[in-house]
Amino acid sequence: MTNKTREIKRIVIFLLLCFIPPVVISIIYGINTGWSSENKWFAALSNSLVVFPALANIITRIITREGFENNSLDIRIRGKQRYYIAGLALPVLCTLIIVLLGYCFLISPETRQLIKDKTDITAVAARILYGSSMGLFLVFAGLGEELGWRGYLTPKLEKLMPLFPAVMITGLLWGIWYIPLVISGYAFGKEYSGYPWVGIVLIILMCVFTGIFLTALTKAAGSVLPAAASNIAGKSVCLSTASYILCIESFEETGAGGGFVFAGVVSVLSASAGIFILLKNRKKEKLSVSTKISV
Amino acid sequence: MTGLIYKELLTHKKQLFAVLAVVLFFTGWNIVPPLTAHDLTAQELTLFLGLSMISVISVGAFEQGIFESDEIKIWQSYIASSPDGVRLQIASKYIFNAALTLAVVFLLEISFYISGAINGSDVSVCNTILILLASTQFILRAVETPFIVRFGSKMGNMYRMILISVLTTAATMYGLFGDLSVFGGSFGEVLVRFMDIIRDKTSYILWFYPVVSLVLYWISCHISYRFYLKGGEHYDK
Repeated sequence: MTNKTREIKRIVIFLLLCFIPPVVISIIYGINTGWSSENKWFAALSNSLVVFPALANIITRIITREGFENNSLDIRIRGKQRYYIAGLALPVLCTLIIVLLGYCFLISPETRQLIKDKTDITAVAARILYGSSMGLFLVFAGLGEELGWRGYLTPKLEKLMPLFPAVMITGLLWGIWYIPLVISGYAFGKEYSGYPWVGIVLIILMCVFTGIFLTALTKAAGSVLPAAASNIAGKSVCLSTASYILCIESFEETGAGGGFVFAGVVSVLSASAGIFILLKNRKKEKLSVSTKISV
Repeated sequence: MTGLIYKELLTHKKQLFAVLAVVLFFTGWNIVPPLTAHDLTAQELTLFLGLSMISVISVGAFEQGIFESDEIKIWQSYIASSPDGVRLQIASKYIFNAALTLAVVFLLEISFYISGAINGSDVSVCNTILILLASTQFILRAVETPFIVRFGSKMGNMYRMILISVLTTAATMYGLFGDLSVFGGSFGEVLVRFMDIIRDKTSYILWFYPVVSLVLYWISCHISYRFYLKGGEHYDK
């Protein structure tokens, strides 16, 4: 079996293991609950499905006898602190921009007055710091996803195609993986016009562009840990803190506009930061290669 | 570093299995619905939190003994002679302890969500208290580990007991002469009051606590780097 054929086989096995169990579980949940996010099992479902990409990684390696080298789990932090900081700082930046845009365009004048009267800067800073620290406290939840997507699928696809298409395809598959949850109201709720198709398109776009940033962190740090921390920090900080600052219960209250703002800001910032890190890394690699050649 | 962490896994395999068994037992116990109430009563909250405290405390007890296995002068000389050896040795222990605590947090959080789904309770407060418990573990390790690294396990534990005695004495003095109105009522009522404090959006002091614990843990690691070689004077063998 050629190397390419072997890699394709591994990718297929990984995708089957990554998609089939969550899709089956989600369909069973959807049929029994009418795809409701209000159901008491929704939180358990959305928090438990994250482990399947990592499990798919481990099981695929065992089935194909690949072993556990190149597992993207380098835990050395020294010299790579800036990538961890970048991973935790980007969700904070996204939150602040979402709040600014939400304040300007999405909420009523009465709510704006309420924000002016009630906002406590220390409490806001505390919530942002708390949300960011969840990126580290709940890093195992982040590893559940990142070990699969950035830790296994992207490197495997890179062996078959250039980096950019590999990142795009990983992001696309990641977004498709989220479809059952989006249908149940994850991230955008269900009260927007165009449900669920608009939500599906938004989540796929977000996953593609966020994937650029997470891949950049993984390649620069040589480990999925910064990406895992960033993934969870983003989920902990962005929506809940933005909702708190804007004095709304959830972004569903703002209708489809909230979803577009959220998805747009996260996508643009993540893609920009990711491309910046990738280009800087590539420049550093070229410099080190040319230095080695000259020596 | 990966090799050193793998060494920790192999060296403490039996203790790890015991700790894992305790954690899985109490995680499983969390999932069995205690009552059919729709909102968490004080008794349910006490049960959930008690069970998670036992899991976190048992992991903490294991983490206290992690330095003892490497208190051998030959090992210290070997690791000090390797490039970046002291930093890797200390960092691997800290990362191993942190990873263990965080893995337990993740397991317990999933069990809370499933338990909440079974009996229809809102478990967000339980998750917040779990994070605070884990943060307390980080602070305890951050305080005691430099003592253990500097003075060895035996003397380090002695200094730690002295510190705990001082804190216990201070708490007793407060209990005798301080304002105890906040602790009035049963344990369940105190917990419900504590739950209300956490739910209060302006109680931002508690929101800073996890961040402070992580910073202290990082500072403790750097302090331990400096103390490691001096600690060898206290090793028996």
